[in-house]
Amino acid sequence: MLIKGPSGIGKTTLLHLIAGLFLPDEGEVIIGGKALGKLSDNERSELRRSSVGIIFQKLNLIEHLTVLENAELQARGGKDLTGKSMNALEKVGMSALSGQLSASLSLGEQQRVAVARVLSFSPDIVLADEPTSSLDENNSNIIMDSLINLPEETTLITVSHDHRIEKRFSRIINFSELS
Amino acid sequence: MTPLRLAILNLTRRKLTTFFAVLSISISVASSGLLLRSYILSNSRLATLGKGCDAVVGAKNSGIEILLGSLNGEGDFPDFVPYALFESLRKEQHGEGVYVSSGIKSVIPFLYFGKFKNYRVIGTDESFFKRPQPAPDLDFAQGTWAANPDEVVIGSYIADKENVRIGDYITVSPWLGKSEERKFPEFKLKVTGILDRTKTVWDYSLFSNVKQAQDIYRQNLDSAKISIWGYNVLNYFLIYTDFGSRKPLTDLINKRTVAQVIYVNEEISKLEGLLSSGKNLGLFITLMIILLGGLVVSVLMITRFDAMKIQLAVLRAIGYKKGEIAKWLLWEGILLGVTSCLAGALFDMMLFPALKGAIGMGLPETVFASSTIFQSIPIWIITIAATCIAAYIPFVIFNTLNVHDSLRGL
Repeated sequence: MLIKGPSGIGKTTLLHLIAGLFLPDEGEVIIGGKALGKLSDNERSELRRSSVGIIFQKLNLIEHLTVLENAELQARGGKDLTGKSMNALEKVGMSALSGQLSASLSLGEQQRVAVARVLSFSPDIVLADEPTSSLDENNSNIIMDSLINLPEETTLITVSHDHRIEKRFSRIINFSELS
Repeated sequence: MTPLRLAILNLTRRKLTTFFAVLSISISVASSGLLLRSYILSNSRLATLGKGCDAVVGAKNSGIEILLGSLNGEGDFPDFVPYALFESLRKEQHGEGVYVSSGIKSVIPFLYFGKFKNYRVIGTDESFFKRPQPAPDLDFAQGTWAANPDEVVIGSYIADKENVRIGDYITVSPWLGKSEERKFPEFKLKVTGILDRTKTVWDYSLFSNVKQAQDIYRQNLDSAKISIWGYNVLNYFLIYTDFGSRKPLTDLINKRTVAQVIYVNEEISKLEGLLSSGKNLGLFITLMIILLGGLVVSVLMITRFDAMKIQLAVLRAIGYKKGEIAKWLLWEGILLGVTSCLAGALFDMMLFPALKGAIGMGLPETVFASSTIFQSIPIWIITIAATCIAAYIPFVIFNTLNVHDSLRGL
């Protein structure tokens, strides 16, 4: 699903509400049958950790960690943790840079690592906030190919101004039309 | 990723910041440790001070130096006083002198003349051990007094530590004056007695007779090189006296001779006064240094937190719990604290001998007043606690952080 609309209309706020980063003043957000408002802060964190992958527009990574360490941040897999993360990096074409510090990466490469972080733990929902807005055509395609090819049972909700990616979504909600 | 791993990576990847933080804290730890150890060592004098007399006569000097030189085995080789004066005082003791009101109950000769390893060998006589009532005698655990030539009595610590028994011969190096730096031929003494444990400097001392001591001077030095009195000298006389007769004794010694009498309890009170002021000042400076170290960590952590605010918000957004973030920061505090303590302890160990050398007479000999690096443990505990608290400050700020607001627009 793609959500589009002018700046300041509340697209990011909606993503953050879905992620349970804060709670609505009215109404409820229900994920997998669980009302987020009824969960404790720790339970909401656990839900995000296990089921929600988030990709921001920029500053997705921890600067002093390597590409691989950033990809491992959300994954859980015991012994297989590194293997899963390396597979995910492979999918976004970043495995060759796995030992490099993320601070030295270009914006496009950082976005690809952020996508790998999501791919490494197979979330139920992926929330992507303007994932391609600052990227060139090539990087934009790599990111969108990775997201569109997520397993069928994964729900992808993307917020974007980027007209280049609209054709990839079967369902588009235009907030300006709603308002 | 576990909080511990996050902490290790955060510290090791920011090498320069971590290096300066560890350096600052370790300097604080070392400085505080040095102060604490100096204070403990200095204070140990009061515990190790040899018991057994009311007054000490020595060459003119400060009272505390005479006290510590005689009853605590400290400092350089002391100046001499004439043996003739000792003999005069002995006559006073037996009521045969001119100043019958001097009130002397016992006068004991005391002359350093050698060292066995770092332990001082004292020439004295049997009166050193048999004190006038009500003072208790200094008992022998084994053997008897070294009344004959080439005999010696040793303190209990030396017997245990150096594994010396009655009948053993020990090799002693002559120690004959501060200006005599050349090496004299060593000599052997036979152990005839081992003292009971006193928990004082006497456990770390050896005792032979005065004649033996003066013979060693005679064998090694020209008479003129020792003093104007030739070989007939002592370093100190230890005196037991009636309490009411101090003034006549002081008048006799201080005004009419080259020597000086000091009263042990008075000098101990002065020493306690000095130690107490030193303690308060030392404690104040130690607290200031630790506070400074704690503030360095706080500033470091807060600055680091400001730089990482967005990244912390990202971690929260991808599911890290507040508790995990708190653990991460706590681990950083512990790791910084422990590393700094290890480095600080190393500095402490390396610098303490130099500090002790620089202070000189200000600190007692470590041969009988122990000073180990583990005396700095309280400083290490305070430092680790301080770094943990300092590391926790960002967490308090982090709790007020709104993740949604921090991430808006990213």
